[in-house]
Amino acid sequence: MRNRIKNRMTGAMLGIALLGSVCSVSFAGIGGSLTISPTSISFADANPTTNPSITANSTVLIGIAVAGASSTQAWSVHGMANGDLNSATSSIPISNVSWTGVQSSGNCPSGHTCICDNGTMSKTTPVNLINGVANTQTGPGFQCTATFSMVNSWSYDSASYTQSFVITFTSP
Amino acid sequence: MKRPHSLVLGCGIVALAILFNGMAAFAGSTTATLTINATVSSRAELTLSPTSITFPDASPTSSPTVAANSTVAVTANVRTASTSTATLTALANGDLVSGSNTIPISNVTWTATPSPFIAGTMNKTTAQSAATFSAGSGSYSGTYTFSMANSWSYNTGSYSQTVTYTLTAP
Repeated sequence: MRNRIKNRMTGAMLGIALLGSVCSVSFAGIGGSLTISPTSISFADANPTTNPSITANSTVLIGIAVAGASSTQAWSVHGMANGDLNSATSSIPISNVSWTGVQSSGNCPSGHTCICDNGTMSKTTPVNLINGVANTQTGPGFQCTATFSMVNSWSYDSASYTQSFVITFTSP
Repeated sequence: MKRPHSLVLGCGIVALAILFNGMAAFAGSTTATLTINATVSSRAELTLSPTSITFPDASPTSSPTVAANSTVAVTANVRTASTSTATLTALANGDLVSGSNTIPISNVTWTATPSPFIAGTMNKTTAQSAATFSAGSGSYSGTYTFSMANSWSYNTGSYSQTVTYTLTAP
């Protein structure tokens, strides 16, 4: 009987230890809450001769609130297109779309820097939109305003094109 | 003997509650999708330079054909659907006129380089094709070289006429 009680208690302690491990993993993990607004932008038709570059109809506010990061833990927000801009019969290389990023609000802890990146869209390689180290300011976190533009060209066939650009928070 | 089981169950509830609370602290997505739209409409842009040429006087005997004083550079920018084809035509607004004298506009011809620009003869009633484009959009540059058949039948005078070039992107 004494041994059975001892075994049960050992099992219980092992169970507590395992659950404690799960708890600690949850608390130690970095987490990011990502928001973008608006979720859709458009490039209007324009004469390539007089408008060699077209600015999108709206800037995009990209916000990231990072919690649970260590003081040296790096993170980034990157984006990758699911393909070229496509219509039913034609396409425009997605690399013709680029952006400039400017900090609009929020901050990172003293001694750490969060950066809004400029970039060019790619359908094969993730490109940074924001990168930083450690937790962001609580609340809305760190926000960048991205201004998107597209190279204009006479070579584009007339059509309506669309594509998705997936933005992801990651930490190595 | 059942107390250890109760202890484990109790911790499990607490542990799960903490785990869910921890996840709730990071509420929101770590992935967002931005949809990008672009509208490209049909349009055409044609430039000719210079916009005026002159055929100098010459002896019809020694110069049965007179070359214009300048070639004309042409640039045609077209945007159209991938299955549509742009057109470029030239239509003279009449014969060469000098007062009551005329020289048939059909005496004016041109050559063109490179493709898709093509050679032709001026016509005052039917627009003449000045290029044969492939389907879809593009930007093209070329040169037209004009000449006029010379003749002893022409009355002396200073003749003039306009020709309208039309680039269409359907």
